[in-house]
Amino acid sequence: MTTYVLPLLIGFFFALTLQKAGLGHYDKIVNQFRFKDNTIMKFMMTGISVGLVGVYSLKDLGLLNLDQVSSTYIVGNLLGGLIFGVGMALAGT
Amino acid sequence: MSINNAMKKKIWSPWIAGFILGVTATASYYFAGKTIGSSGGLESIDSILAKTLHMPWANAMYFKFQMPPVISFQIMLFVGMLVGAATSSIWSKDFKLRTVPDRQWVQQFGPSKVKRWIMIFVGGVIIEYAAGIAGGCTSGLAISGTMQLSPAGLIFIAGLFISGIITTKILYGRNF
Repeated sequence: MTTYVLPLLIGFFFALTLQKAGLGHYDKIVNQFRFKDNTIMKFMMTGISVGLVGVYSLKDLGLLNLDQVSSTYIVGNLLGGLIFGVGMALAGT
Repeated sequence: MSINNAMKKKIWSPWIAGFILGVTATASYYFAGKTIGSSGGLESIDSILAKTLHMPWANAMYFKFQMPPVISFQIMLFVGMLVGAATSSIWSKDFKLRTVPDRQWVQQFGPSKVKRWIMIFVGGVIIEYAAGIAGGCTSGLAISGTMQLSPAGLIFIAGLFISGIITTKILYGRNF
């Protein structure tokens, strides 16, 4: 159940929101970089904010351990981000 | 508004979609103990392929321990994502087989299919490579990482926008 069914459900809603926000379209991604369409910023920041409140509320209630925190190594993250942006602008995905 | 009406709409307000994304991400963390991510699944698939085909790099440290060749959480997440996106786009009649994007692409780069396919392939390779360096992609690092206040996510978003804006500026030139 946890291994197979749960990720299916989570993935379903995850991709549904992505598609409904219009992120499947080339122009939405590229127009964010051209400052013509702020959909991605609005979508991502709302998602992060809601998730932030959710995760930290659960943590403070003692229902969750923050054991999946992405490890920070500044050079890797920054370099990866810089290369990633090139690919994203080329492909528009 | 009924669910049917909502699903028939091609585009939702990004605030509403973002809210559902946040709830989904929290639910994933709480129920499965895992964060949402897409690039890791691809590497697990790579790992399985390398092992089945007896590639020499299947024994590399990375594929043995970092991305072991098992049907992981993220591969199942992939399947769910395909179904979710297909449901969303077919229900709203947004689904269509496209060889080039409907909007904007042709005006800027001309009608050539080959050009689009080369660019999206190169872009895809760069994206996955960079995700390997950074330790995650837009969903796995930028959203799930920042959600836990990990500095990694914020650094990644900053880098992504810096080079994304510069690359788009170069590609679009005067039309930026």
